[in-house]
Formats: sequence, C-alpha cells, structure tokens
Amino acid sequence: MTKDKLNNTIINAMKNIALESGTELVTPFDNQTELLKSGLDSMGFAVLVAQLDEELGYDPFVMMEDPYYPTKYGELLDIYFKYFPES
Amino acid sequence: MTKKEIIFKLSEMHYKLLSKNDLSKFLGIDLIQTFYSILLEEKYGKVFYETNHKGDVISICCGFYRYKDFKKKYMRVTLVNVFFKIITFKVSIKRILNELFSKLPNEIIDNQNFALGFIGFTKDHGIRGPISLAKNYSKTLKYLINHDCNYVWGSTLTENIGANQFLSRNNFKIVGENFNGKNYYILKL
Repeated sequence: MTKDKLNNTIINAMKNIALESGTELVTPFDNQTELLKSGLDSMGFAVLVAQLDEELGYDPFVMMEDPYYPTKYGELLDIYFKYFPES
Repeated sequence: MTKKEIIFKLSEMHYKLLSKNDLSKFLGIDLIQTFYSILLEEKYGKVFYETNHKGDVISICCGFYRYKDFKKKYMRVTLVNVFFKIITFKVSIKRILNELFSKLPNEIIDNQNFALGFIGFTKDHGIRGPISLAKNYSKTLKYLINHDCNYVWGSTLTENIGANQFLSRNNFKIVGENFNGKNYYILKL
C-alpha cells in the first residue's frame, strides 16, 4: 500500500467517526495537526485505532516493542506506514 | 507490583471512571476490588490493562469466556456485603435486585458466557489512553477467539455515549435498547 492510499484510509475513517459524533475534522488538516485538537475526542481515537485494526488487519501499537505515542497526525500516519505488513 | 497492588490500582481507575448513576459507584470500591480479585484468577476470563511508569492504570479491557460462572462466584462472595450496604447506606434494594437478577435480552440469555466486561481509559495521559484501550480491546478479542468464542456480548449504560459509540463503531449490533437503563450489544466474530 502506498502512503497516499494509507493516508486516505485513515483520514476517511477519522471523518466518518467525527461525523457520527456530530463533529468534523478541523481545517486546515495536515501532518502538523495535533491529534487531540483534530476534531476527534479521545474516545474517537480508541474507535479509530480499533477500526483501523479491523480494516487494515494490523495494530501498529500492539506490534511495536517500545511504546511510542504520536501527538501529530503526520506521526500517526508514519507509524501506520512503518508497520504496514509486507505482502 | 504485587497482586494486591494491581487489584487496588485497577479498582481505583475503574471506580474513577464510573458515572454517578452506576450502581457500582453506590456499592463502593471494595466490591470492585472483589471483581478484579476473581477475574485475576483467570479461571473465567482475563483483564487486559496497561500501566504507566508509576503503576497507574491507563486502560482496562475485561473479557470473559465463562461469564455465568464468574457472576455466580461474584454474587456468592459479595452478597453478604451487598446486603450490609443496603442496610447501612440505604441503597435501594429494588435497584440492586434489578441489577443483580435482572433478565437479559433474549438474544443474550442463551449466549452469556463470552462477554466483554468493563472497558475504559483515563484522560490523564493524552492520546496514550485511547490508543492503549484499542490495543487492549484487540488483545481481548484475540484472547476470546483463542477460547473458541464466535460471539461476544457487552452492555453499557444508555447515557454512556462514548462506550455506546465504541461498541457500535466496532460492529457490535444492538440487541436490547434501554433495557433496564442499559444498551446490550452482540458482536459475531
């Protein structure tokens, strides 16, 4: 999977979760956007990570040996890209 | 940490996250400690949790594969204590009996064993809390699947928007809406 495709998958999931919570993602939204100010509340992130696990088939936070937690969207995307299982 | 310390930390976090309308809040932290001391035996299920460097719990996700037996044991151990509290603190007996002996929705009655128990995270650790919960939720489902689970049920207070959202976004289907003040869900695996 390309990083662009992964980016689209994550952003679409975030948009849907925000929509269901009656909110929307902040604009502008880019790699520098702070996750906790992105429009999703904290439960929204629990939903996002669980949903991406279902959709993509992996949870990078389970796979990493040394726990690392992103603060910005770009860091979250990098983590998912780094741990994407090679086919 | 010793087992006693783990029970204390898990119960402390659990109690902190309960809404004011939750019966466990009235009944007190000692009953929650009993809940974890039985669950940590791992005869009925398992609690997946994560702590920070100080030992404070960040997230919890409980999974049962013998929920009926767990509930039986929990009630046996706590019943005297519960009735003591009814007398001492004048907690409504009707409410307690409703909670402990209430019927479950039909879809769950015959399929009680595989259950998702308490889930939650503290907001004190920023993004780490929700990510940690998702991680423990994923571990819980894998654990249940390893126990030949092909469905799991869970319930949450109707007013708990976050937990309702978490379950429905994770493909749990609602099977009892506002049933004794709770929403009941089933996930087919």
